[in-house]
Amino acid sequence: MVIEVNPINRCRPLGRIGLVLFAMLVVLGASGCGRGGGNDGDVFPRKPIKVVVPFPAGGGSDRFVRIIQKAVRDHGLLPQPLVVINVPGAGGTVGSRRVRDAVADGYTILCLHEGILSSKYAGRVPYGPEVFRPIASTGQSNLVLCVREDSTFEDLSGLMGIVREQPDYIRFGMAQGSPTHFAGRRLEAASDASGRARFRYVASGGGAKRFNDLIGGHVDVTPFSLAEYASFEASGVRAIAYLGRERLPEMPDIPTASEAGYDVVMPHVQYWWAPKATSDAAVGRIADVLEAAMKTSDVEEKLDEMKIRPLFLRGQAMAAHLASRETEFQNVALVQFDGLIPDVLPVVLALAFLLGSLAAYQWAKEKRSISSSGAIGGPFALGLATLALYVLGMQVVRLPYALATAVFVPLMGFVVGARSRGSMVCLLGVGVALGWACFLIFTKVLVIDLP
Amino acid sequence: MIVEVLAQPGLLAMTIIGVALGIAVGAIPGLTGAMLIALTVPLTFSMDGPDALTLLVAMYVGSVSGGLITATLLRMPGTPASVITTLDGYPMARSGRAGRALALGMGASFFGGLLSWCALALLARPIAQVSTLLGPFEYFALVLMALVLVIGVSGPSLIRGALSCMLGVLCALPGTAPGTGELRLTFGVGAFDDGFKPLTVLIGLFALSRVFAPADEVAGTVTVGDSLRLRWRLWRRQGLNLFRSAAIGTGVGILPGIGANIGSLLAYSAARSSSRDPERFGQGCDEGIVASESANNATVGGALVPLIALGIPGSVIDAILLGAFVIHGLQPGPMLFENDPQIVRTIISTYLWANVAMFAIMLMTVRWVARLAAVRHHYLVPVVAAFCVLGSFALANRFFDVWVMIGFGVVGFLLDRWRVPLAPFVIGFILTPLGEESMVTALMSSGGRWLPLVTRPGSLTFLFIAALLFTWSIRQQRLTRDETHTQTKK
Repeated sequence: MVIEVNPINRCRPLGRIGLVLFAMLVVLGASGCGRGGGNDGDVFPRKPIKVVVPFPAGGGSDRFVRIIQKAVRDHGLLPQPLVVINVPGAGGTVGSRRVRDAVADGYTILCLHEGILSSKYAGRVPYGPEVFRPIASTGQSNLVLCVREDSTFEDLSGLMGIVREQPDYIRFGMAQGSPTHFAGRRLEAASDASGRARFRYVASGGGAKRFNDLIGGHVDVTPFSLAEYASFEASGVRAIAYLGRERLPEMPDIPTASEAGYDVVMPHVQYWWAPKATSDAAVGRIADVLEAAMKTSDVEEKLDEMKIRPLFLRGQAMAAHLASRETEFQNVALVQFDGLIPDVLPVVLALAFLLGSLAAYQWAKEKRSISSSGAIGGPFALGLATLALYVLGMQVVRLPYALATAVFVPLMGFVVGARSRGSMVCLLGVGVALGWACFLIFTKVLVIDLP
Repeated sequence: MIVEVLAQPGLLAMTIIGVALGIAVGAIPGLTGAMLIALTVPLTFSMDGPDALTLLVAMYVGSVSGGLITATLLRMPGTPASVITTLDGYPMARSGRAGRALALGMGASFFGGLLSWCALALLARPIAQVSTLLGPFEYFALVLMALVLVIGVSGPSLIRGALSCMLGVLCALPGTAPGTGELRLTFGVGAFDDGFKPLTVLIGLFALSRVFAPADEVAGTVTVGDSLRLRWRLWRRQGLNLFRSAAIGTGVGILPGIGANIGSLLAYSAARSSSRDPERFGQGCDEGIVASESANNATVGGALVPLIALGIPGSVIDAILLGAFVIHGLQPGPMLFENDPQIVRTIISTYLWANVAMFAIMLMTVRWVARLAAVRHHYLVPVVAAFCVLGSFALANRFFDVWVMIGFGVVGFLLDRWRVPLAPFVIGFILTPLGEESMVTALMSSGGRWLPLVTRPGSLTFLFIAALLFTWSIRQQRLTRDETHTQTKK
C-alpha cells in the first residue's frame, strides 16, 4: 500500500525507441486523464462526491465526516464514494468560500458546524447560511463550562455572582469569534440584563490550548466540547454547568445552566451544505444517504464514543433549527478589544523601514562586491515564466497534472541549460515518470484534489 | 518501554516503513514531513491503533532527520527544523566534506533522539504538569528571545539579519489577526484570509529560490570523497555540546506549541557562545551541525511528552498525531497511562526504535544519497520545481498556496542575491503568529498591563538570556571586524 518515490532517477541515455515509447506514454497519459466518463442517464451521482472539510485532517469535524464516509462505503449507500478534501484555514472560511463558489452540480459539498454562523456574526466573512443550500443537520453535542479541579467555584450561581459583583475579574478562556466566545457573552446577558456582569475574556484558542491555560492557572473558567471534556476530565478539570436543554444521561452529575437560572444552550451541530443553485434531486439524494448512514450501528457506536447525539434534521425541521440558531447569534455582540491590544503593524513597518535603510547604506558602501555577485537576468525570468505557465496550465486551462508535468520537466530543463538530445530524452522520461507516479500516489493513495 | 516494538514484527515493519518514508519525503525538497503525516492520517483509519500510531511516530522521526540531507547538500531544508542546519552543513558540504557533514548530522540526530527518549520514558508525567505553568507572558518572552537569537547567529551582518527577520515578521501579518479576529492586510481578497502558510513560505524561500540560481551555485560542485566514518575521539570532543543541545531540544520540545526550529536555534546559539572560536560558526564547523541536529531530533521526543501525558500537542505534527490517537479511540492524558498502558509503552518504544532505524537507514543509504549533490543542474532543477509545486498544492488543495510559494521563491532568490540571510526570515515568519497570539492573550488576561512581562520569573529569565546573548553577539561581531581590519592593514 505504501509506495516510495524516488525523484532523482539516474538517467541513462535512451535511444530513439525510448523517445517514441515515451511520446506514446505522454499521449496515453493525456487521454487517460481526460474527464470523460460514461453518459448513463440522469442518475446522480455519476462520479465521486467531494466533501470539503474546512479544518485539518484529524480534527473533530474531519473525524465526524470520515465516520459517515466509512459508513456510506461499508454499507454501499452510494454507487460512488464520498471523498474528503481538507481545506483548512481562517476558522473554516477558506473552505466555505470554496464551496460557495463551486459549480452547483452536487459534486462539491461542505460540512461545517456552528462556525458558519459564528464567523458571519463575528464579522469574518460577509456571508452565512443564506448563500448555501442546506442539505441536512447531523449529530449534536453541547458545550460544558469547566473550572480547575481545585477551584473555589462550586457551581454556576457562585461563579456568576462574582461576575456580577466584580466585573472584568473572572478570566474566561475562549477562541475569539467562535461559539465559546458567544457562550460567555450569553451567560453574561442571562445573568444580568443591565450589562454589568462581565467576564475578562482571554483568547486562548482551541480546546487543547484552553485546557493548557486552565490547568496552568492562566484562565479561571472555559467551555469545552463534550468530547474535549471527556478527555480532560482526568487531568484536573471540573465541569460546573452543561449548556444543554437537559442533563446528559451518561453524566447525570453535571447540572444544566438553566437549572441554575441561566437559560443558555449552546448546541454544536454538524451541518451539510451545497452551493446555492444545486438541484433538488442532488440535495435530496445526499440527504437520503446521510439519513441512512446516521442510522447504521457503526455510526451510532462511533458517535457515542465521541459523545455526539445522533440528531438528524432535514428540510423544514432543519430550516427552523437554523433560523432559531441564527437569532441567538444575532442578538449577541462580541467584545471588542480596542485600546487593549497594540497594533503591531506600524511598529513592524517602521522597524523594517529603518533596517532597510541601514542595510541600503551598507550596500552602498560595499557597492563593488554586490555587483560582482551576479546579475538577475534572462535565466531567472525565463525560469519564472516557465513555472508560471505550468501552474496556470493546471489552474486555468485545467490540464491534467501528469501531462502538464511531463511537458514542464523537459521544458524547464531546457531553460536551465540542458541542450544535448540525450539529456532532453532523459528529462522527458523523468517528467513522464514523475508526473504519473505523483499523480497516482497523490490522488489514489493520498487524497489530493489534483487536476 | 523498550522491547514492545521488537516483540511484534508488524510494528517493527511499520516503524521501518514509516522512518524510510519520512526520510525520503523529508529529503525531497518541496515535500515536507508535516504534509506526509497529514496526508497519511486518513490512510490509517482502517489500521489497528498501535500500527497506525507506530507508523505516524516513525514518519515524524524520519522526516525531521531526512530534512538534514538536503539542508546539508543543497541548502534546501526539508523541514523547518533543519533551517539552522543549513548554516554550517551547507558550507561544509560545499568545501568538499559532504560526507563528514552528513555523518555528523546523523550521529547527532541519533544521540538527540536517544536523550529525549530517556526524558519521555522516565519523566513524561511530572514534566508535562510543570510545563503548563508557563503562561502567555512566558511564551511571548520566549519568542522575543528566539528572534533576537536568530539575528545574532545568522551571519556577518547583524543589520541584514535583523532586516530579514523583520521582513519575515511583516509577511506573517496578513490574514486573521490573532485575538481580535479582524482581517488585516488582505486587500479584500478572500484567499488571503488565512495568511501565508509556513510550509509554503519555507518551500519557496529555500527550495524554489535555488531553482532560479545560476547553475554553478546549486549542484554539481560537491564531491563526497571524504570518509563517512568519524573517529570516536571526535565524538568525545563534541560530548558536552551533544548533551547540552539534546537537553535544550528536549526542554523546548516539551513546551506546547513551540516547534523544533526554536530548539535547534537555541542549541546553536548556546554552542556558539560557549565556543572558543565562535567566528568559525557559519563557515562549516562541526559544532554547529551537531548542535542543530541533536536538538531538532530531541524536540520530537520532547513534544511527545505533553501529547501523551496531557493531550496537549507540542507542534503542528503533534496536533495531527493527537487526531490520530482519538480516531483510534485513545484519549491521551493521565487516564491513558491507567486505561491503556500498553499503547503508551508501545509508542515510547516506537520512538526509540524509530531513532535506531533512522540511524541505520541513513547510514546504509548515505553514500548513495550524497550523490544527490552531484546530480547535474538541469536534471535537479525541473524535478525540484515540480515537487515544490506539488508539495505546496497538497498542503490545502489550493493553487493559491502554489502562487504564494512561487512569490516567496522570488523573494528568496532576491534576498540571496543581496546577501540577506534567509534563516531569520523563516524563523521570524514562523514565530510571529505564536508571539502575537501570546502577546494578545497575555494582555487580555492582565487587563492591558505589560508589567507581568518583567515581574514573572519565567519571562524575566528569557528576556535576560536574550539581552545577554545579544550583547555578546554584538561584541563578537565588533571583535571579528577589528581583527579583519588589522589584518588588511598589515
